[in-house]
Amino acid sequence: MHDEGRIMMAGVWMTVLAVALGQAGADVRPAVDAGTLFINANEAYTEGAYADAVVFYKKAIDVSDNFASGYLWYNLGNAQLRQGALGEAIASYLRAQHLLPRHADIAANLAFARKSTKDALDPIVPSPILRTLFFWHFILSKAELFKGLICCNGLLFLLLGAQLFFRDSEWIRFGAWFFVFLTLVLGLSTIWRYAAPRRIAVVRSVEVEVHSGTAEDTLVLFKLHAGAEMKWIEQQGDWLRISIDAQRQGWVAAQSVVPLLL
Amino acid sequence: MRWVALCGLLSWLIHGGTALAMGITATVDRTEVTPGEQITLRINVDGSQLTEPTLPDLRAFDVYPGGTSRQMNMINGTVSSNVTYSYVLVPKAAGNIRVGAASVQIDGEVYTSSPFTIRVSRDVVTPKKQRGNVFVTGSVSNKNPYAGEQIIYTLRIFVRAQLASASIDMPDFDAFVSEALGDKREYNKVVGGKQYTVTEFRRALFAQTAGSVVVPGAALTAEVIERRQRGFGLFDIAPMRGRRGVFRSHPITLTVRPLPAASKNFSDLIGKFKISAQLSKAELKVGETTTLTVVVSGAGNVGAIRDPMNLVLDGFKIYPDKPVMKINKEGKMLRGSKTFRKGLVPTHHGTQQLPAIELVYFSPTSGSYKTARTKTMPITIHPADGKEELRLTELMTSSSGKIAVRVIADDIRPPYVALDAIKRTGMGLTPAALALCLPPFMFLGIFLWRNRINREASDGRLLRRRKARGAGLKILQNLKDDNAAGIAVETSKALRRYIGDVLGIEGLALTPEDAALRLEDAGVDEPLKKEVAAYLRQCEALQYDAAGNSFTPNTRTHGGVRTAKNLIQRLDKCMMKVAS
Repeated sequence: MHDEGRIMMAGVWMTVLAVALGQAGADVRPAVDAGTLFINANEAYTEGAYADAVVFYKKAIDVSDNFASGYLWYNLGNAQLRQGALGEAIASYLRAQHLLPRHADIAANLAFARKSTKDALDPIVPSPILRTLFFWHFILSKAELFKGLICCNGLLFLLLGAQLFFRDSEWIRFGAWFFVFLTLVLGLSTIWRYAAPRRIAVVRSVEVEVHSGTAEDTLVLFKLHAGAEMKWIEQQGDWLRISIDAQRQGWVAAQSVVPLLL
Repeated sequence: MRWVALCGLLSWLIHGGTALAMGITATVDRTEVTPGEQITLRINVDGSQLTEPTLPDLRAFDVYPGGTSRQMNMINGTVSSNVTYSYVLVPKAAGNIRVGAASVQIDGEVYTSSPFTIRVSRDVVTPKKQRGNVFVTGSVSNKNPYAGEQIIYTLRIFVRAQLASASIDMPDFDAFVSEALGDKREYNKVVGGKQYTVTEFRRALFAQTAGSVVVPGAALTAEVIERRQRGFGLFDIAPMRGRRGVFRSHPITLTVRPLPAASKNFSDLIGKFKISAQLSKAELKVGETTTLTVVVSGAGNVGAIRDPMNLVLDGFKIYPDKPVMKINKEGKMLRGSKTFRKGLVPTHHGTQQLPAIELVYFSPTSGSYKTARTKTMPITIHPADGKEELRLTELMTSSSGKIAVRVIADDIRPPYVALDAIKRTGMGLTPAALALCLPPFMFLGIFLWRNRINREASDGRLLRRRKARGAGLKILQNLKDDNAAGIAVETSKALRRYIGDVLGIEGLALTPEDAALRLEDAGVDEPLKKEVAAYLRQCEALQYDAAGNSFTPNTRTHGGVRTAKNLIQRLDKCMMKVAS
């Protein structure tokens, strides 16, 4: 068989395989346990048994790990906030917001939780210039960026294929260039998200001492309280190197904060 | 007599001309200093050539280059030069430091300077002794504070010269929590009879631990522009010169006292604080709101002010508001206040007393813990009009006549209970990667297919060849006759038809010899041509050999078909090669 024929056959097989895998992915649903755990957690929350609700929500998240749901993290944050675990609640809301970046309830509850913190620290957000120039990067979740990239990529090659048959069409040429641009933009954003995730740590203890080194007997530089958000730079053993602004950095015990990679 | 005088003058001039001074001298502006204080070392080289001197061992000092000045003289036609190299030395430690000889080689001869000793005493020199044109002092308001007590560090820069490229290196306050107090201040002050311009920086410091704590010195690095004495040399025309210098303040050692054993309910506040409380309404109805405002203010570690209220009031719903912090850094000390507001909504009528709110702080002045407290506040609650219900919003009438809604309480939004909360919001990596790779592959397939169509459309022979091959192979594939003669007829027909289709002639009428001739014309190589002709002859022989003696059974059937297929494929390749 000629080479062209072989390539075409490979393309056809790839299509069949992708459709089959996509179908398989669509068919797989979280185990029934996730639903049961979710219902149990909601009941516990309604009854005021917030500690139980936290346990159930965490199990539901573990069970449906591949189906990471922003709503589960949001509910977990609510239960933790009611329980008094301010730092963990803020961490959960941040995770929820990472998956559902435009959800109003998550933003409202995160703002509410932040009002209860003691330390006068600004939340770690990118500069307004960056947020304006690269708005799509900040208003779309990672999954949405990837889906947008897939769509633009598909439409780009569809138009390139159409151009083989309608060589003189200016509309097709313009459309192809447009989707080249969109694919590049979304592709770079996706790579940025995967390659350079935001590193945020949230204080979970009531009060945490920030040391000048990775030992308890080193100088205490300053203290932070539950819910304080900071950047974490690196981890050395049981210690995380954190910074709250350009001048102030130090080391905190890893178990006293919730480190996040968003 | 006149001749004697003239000879004497000539002799003096000649002597003067030949005895030009050559050598090296090293001088310092002072030999007694304290650690951190600076000394100016000048090395003066005289000679007819400009040669760099070799410096003595200066490891006991921090050395900063202070510039070079050159002077040239012409006496009786002989040119000599004088170069002065300046260095700023800052001793690192106390003690007697022996500075060795500097050396220089002039006209092959080595000259050395005289060594000298610098005494670095431990005694701190008071500002009165530091009366150069520039000096820096650092001071603290209290050298024996309590841990956490506010002390004021003041850095003053005294200047009575023009400075260029000045930069100040503030001390590291690692052992303190520090806060800058206002902007720098500038004023004039007379010190030792001389007027200086003073630039003053102030910081509030809070020592974190008890014990001996050092506030390091600050350093001012600047080029001091000084007026230079005008000489008489031809090239000595610059009236001003810059001298680079480092001016340091002395480190200050504090003895920080620990706090006495903490009193109960100690608020972590150290300094002087007060507390006040106020109710917006002391008389109200059930369901209405009164706001309790508590203000904690004072001087000290105001950043540590926490909510002093631990209110548990029966018969009230309590809604806390976000505290408001105000810090004043402009005064002589760090002062501030924090205002806490709580909305109180009574649920039962009657008279209640709001208990006094206490604030326990440590007063460094008296060295003891003190308690500030508010007065108890009576609240009279009347029954509500009509049905008693909690009103969580309070209506207020604005000047525009519209009704503004004041939010009294805030709460989180409820959890999400629909089961689709556990639906997938992420995306699996494998399907995503496949979906990303699929369009390029499909495009490649379409591109190659389209390319093939185009080539066939532009090349008629190619299309004919492909069709011929397809038709010939199809005939061979559909052979049904098991009879050897029948197979021979069919395979021969297939081969001849292929040759005819490829060459654009009627193939079925071709004899083996005709076929060979035509193939030769078409450029088919000799062995293949002969093989085709031989095969066709064999087929003819089999066709007319009724006894079936010409071939073995295998050759007659499957072997013959395979040979025909093979020949068609080889002919096709050969034709393709010829066409290209």
